[in-house]
Amino acid sequence: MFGYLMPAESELSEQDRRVFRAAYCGVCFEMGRVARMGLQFDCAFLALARNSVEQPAPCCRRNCRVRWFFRKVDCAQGEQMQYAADVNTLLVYYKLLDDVRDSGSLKAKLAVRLIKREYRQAAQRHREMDSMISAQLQKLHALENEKSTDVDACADCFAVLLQLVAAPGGDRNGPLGRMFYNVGRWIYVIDALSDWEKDRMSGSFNVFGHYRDLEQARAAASFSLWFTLSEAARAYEMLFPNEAAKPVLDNVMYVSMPARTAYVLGEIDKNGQPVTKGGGENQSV
Amino acid sequence: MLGVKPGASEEEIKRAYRQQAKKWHPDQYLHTPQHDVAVEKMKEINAAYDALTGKNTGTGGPNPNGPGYGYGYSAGSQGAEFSQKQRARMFIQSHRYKEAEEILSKLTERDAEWHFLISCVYAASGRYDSARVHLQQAVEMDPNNPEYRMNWQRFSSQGNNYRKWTMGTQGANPFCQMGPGSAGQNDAMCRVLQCMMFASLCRGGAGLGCFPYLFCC
Repeated sequence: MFGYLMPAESELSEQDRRVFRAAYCGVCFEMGRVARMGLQFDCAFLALARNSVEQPAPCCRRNCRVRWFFRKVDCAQGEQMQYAADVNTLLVYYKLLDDVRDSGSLKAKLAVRLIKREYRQAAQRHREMDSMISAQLQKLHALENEKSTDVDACADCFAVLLQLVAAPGGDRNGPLGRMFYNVGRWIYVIDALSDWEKDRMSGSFNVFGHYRDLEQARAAASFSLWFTLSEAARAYEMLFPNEAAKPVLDNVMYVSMPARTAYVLGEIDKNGQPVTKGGGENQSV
Repeated sequence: MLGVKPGASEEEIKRAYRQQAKKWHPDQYLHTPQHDVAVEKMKEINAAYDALTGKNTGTGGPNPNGPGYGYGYSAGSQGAEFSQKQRARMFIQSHRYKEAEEILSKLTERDAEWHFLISCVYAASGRYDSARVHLQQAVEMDPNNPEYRMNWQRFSSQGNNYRKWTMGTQGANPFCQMGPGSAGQNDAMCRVLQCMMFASLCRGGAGLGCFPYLFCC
């Protein structure tokens, strides 16, 4: 995914940091050698959120596979970690395919070659999810090809993807499914907004691309972002995560994501200080 | 909640409901501190009424806690023959948004109620921007309707309230030291290395702080 779903470390206690790290390392441990390079915090969050409605995952100390010469790390174990690892592998594979289609660069082609074996293994374990992801992305790609300006439609593709990844099967409208639907929607919108300038330069597609300047795009996205986030938080309140995962999930939902939103909307700067625009509005931060 | 005895007739329940609804309708408390209380009360009253009359049996449906809508006031749904709009409204109340959308899309007369109903459908199915546009339209076309106004107020303020709440509670800067990398310097190094590897792998050397974004644009 995008690296948007990560806790704000400075607000976490040592213990909670360890919980998130264990989930991260647990997912990392389960991944294949190539796909591991595309590991994202989002998938650690996914594993933690999916695991949070059950008992806390057991931890064990293992050699870190990336820095095996270095030291041992805490790894969370369990099928959720395996699941999140497979999700990550699939997403990385499709991302690389996307790159090949867009740029056709040699590097991307090579990477697809390298990751193909691990992708096949993951896809074999989750056939339905694999076809679902590729269907949603195709839908998104079709929308992008026709230069859609419909934020709802574009964001919906990605939102449904995350929803079905987080809550496969019948419970897609449970708290977890609705939470991840809104999270996915938020990710799509915020990613489009933060890439606005870059996309303008390179001339690639952006849902907000038809706005003339960034301020207009921000104004158009502001309602959507905050409302989506509040809906995600509403769904999250129905989730009742276990004791261990709660502080971390709380942190992501109530601190990290809002801060990221405010930052991308230009309300606060990188240091978390409110940005004063000419009119001198000092918002309550 | 409604203050009726067990075994009360439908008429009595209805009367009690109207009385309570009149008393607690949030519109009376606009701009007063009791507004939130009134909203809560109104919800409880509606729930009690629905429970007593056996309406809204579809709460087990797909989106039981979806973007909350409608404090009752289902205008004139007691009529003998249901118009299409009333049918759509019933579908929305029982969380069957697909059917409701189908009915609404066939209607050619687009008045305030149509805009309101379609905005309910959109809000429940995640199309928040369209929902907002249509709800605004409904309010503009019929500014005196309490149902539209109330929902508009709620809809437009929810995100903002959340923003104020979250941005108000957190004092420190959430941006410094993000991610597990900061737990120790070694880990940070590892993260950066991984990042670089992947970035150069698939993006042709994007900046260090830049995570490999997927799919988007």
